[in-house]
Amino acid sequence: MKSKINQKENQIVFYLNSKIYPLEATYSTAYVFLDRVFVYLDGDPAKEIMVFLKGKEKLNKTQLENLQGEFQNELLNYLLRVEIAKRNQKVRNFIVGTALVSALPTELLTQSSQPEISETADWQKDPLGIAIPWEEKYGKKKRKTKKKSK
Amino acid sequence: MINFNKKIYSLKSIKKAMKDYSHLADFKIGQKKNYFLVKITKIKPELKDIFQDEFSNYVLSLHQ
Repeated sequence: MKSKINQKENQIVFYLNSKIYPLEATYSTAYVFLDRVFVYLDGDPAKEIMVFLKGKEKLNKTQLENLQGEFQNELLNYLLRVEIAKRNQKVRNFIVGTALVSALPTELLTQSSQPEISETADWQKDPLGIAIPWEEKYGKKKRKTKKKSK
Repeated sequence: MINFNKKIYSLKSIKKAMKDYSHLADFKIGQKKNYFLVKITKIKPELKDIFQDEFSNYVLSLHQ
């Protein structure tokens, strides 16, 4: 990677390929460094971004080079985080959704369009009419239809 | 004078930064080709050495 050190200006300049490091990633990385260095960006975001890092305190050549390395590491870190966020998006949405539903008051959760059945209700009464044997529900009709066809 | 690349720095961020720093210096903004040109005058003497760099940093921070 191309880089230029200007010790008089206490500054290092390097170039980032925008196809590998998008502008959004460069913004976020620059933000992390704002408290330590002065950051200035230039170039063409469609091709190559120029990054100027200027130390707030006097830095030697090695420190300036290290600064570039740290910046690039942070860029990779950011790109990885974005990639992981993309991969886990569905799972995160599911977890948040479940958490929100479980945070609802129990009164809201138990409310439904179907009639409520009290816990003390007699199990033999079958108020919803779901305990009818298949034969009773459909068997007789079939017989009737057979008779009609004869 | 600071040149801000139009493709990298937004006018909104620059204007916001100018407004926020207006008590520390006077600003004039113009444009030339791909750059917004910010002319800074009457900088408070104690800030003169770092003002332009700090201003650039602040503009960049407003992108977040």
